[in-house]
Amino acid sequence: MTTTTRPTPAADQGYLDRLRQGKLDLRWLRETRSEWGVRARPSKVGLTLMDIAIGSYGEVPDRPPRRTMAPRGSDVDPEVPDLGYTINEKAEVWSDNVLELYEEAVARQWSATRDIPWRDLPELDPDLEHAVCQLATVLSEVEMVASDFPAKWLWRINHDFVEAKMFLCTQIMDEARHTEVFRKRALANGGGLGKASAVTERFLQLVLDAQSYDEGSALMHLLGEGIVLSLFRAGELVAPSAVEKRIFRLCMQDEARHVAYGTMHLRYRLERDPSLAEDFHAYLDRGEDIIAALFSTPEVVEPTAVLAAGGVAAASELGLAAANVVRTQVVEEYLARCARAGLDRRSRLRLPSALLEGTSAAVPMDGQSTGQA
Amino acid sequence: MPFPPPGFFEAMAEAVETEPDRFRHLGIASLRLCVLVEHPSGPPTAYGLVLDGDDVLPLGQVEPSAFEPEVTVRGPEEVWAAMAADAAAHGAASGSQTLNALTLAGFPLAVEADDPLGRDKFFRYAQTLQELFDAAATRAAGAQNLGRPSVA
Repeated sequence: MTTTTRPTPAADQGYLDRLRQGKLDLRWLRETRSEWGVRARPSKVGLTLMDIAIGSYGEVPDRPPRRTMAPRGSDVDPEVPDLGYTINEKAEVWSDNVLELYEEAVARQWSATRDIPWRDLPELDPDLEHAVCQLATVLSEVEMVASDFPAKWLWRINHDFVEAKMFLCTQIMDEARHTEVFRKRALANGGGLGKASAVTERFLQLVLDAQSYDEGSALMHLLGEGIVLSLFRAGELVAPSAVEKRIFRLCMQDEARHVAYGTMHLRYRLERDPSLAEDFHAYLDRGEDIIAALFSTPEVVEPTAVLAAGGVAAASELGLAAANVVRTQVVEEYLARCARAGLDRRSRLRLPSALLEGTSAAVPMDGQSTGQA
Repeated sequence: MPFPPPGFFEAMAEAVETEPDRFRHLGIASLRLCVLVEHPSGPPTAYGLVLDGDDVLPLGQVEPSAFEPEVTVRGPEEVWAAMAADAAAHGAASGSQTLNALTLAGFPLAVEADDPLGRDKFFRYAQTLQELFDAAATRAAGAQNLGRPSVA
């Protein structure tokens, strides 16, 4: 194994000698070329990122001149090393709502240990407990990819986009908490973890193996998290007790923030480079193929149906009817977010026609079914 | 049963004022919400609610086009009333009477927004909104039981 040796800074002996003689340097005090006299005023909830986005400090360059961790707006030593960031274009990670979303994320953190009334969990019918645990298994499995993906790309993002990096840090914490809360739910009432399916893992692999942040963000923020948000909504409806309802509502809030970032990030990206639309379509084509497979996976579909029906006996009729209603909402909300981002997916949806029944994508303008089996 | 009961939306602001730790813990929010109540006869009534940071501002009856809500939740008065009654009876909405459950399928309540980001805000503040509606329902019911015209 070879290692790269980088020069290590040596102590400035001359400065240390002068310091011992009581001679301070003070050039940092007298000669710093950053904006002086800027006074950020706190708004009603405190001093927010929006409040400090003032003067030159609020200007986020489209293409930063350096690749360093030097705080944006500081007077940067010309001898700073190049830290090798690979994402150096603002449009690659930015969204116009990212400052607000960061503030909201920090203010709306919760604890899976303390904020869930675990002691109130009621004893459930074994089939219902199995269904809750299987749903919790799937969610505990898929949520961590939304930590892993931003973590994989975070260190490659230029530090001048620090607000976007900070938001992604909140997402990493949010998703860790979701993994935690569903793992805890599976173990809290006598059920335990259920089955992890290969199909689910293949979608996670697609996100993790994304060749670019663009690709991974479209797959995760827009497609994956949008669908999980709808799953959380459905989970809240069919939850057998107030304990699970609270879990799903709290997770729903976090997930909606991530989707809001993903939607507006894609919009920001496409507004500045519309030629990328076809690339994003291709990413989502691949993602939708796997989502279609997910929607036909028993471990994903059936627990919600059993919970909706209140048991296995009625699940095939009542529960699946409820699941169809939820699926319609999933597709409609996904299409609306794509449209808001500037990407019309109605004519390109890759979901099988059986999954599109009842949605606006089922019969396009030319009367042809768009779903591809 | 009519909806909203007297002082319902005002009770949300009072709850935030009298239980600051509970609502501060849920975090800041930013939302212009319209609650549209469809009556058995006559035009619907719209109520404006603004979540601004830690504050909740009930605006009373509003003209939706002037209020410019980010999201509107629309539904029959009897559904709103049943939701409030359930929350008052249990201390919090239960079963299929939560805001999310009532709106998930688009009926009996529907979430409407010109912008999908506005629609998603309804989910971004799901716990806050649920606790506000729960608090309003229990406080309004308590005030009615005491024979007062509005909540204290």
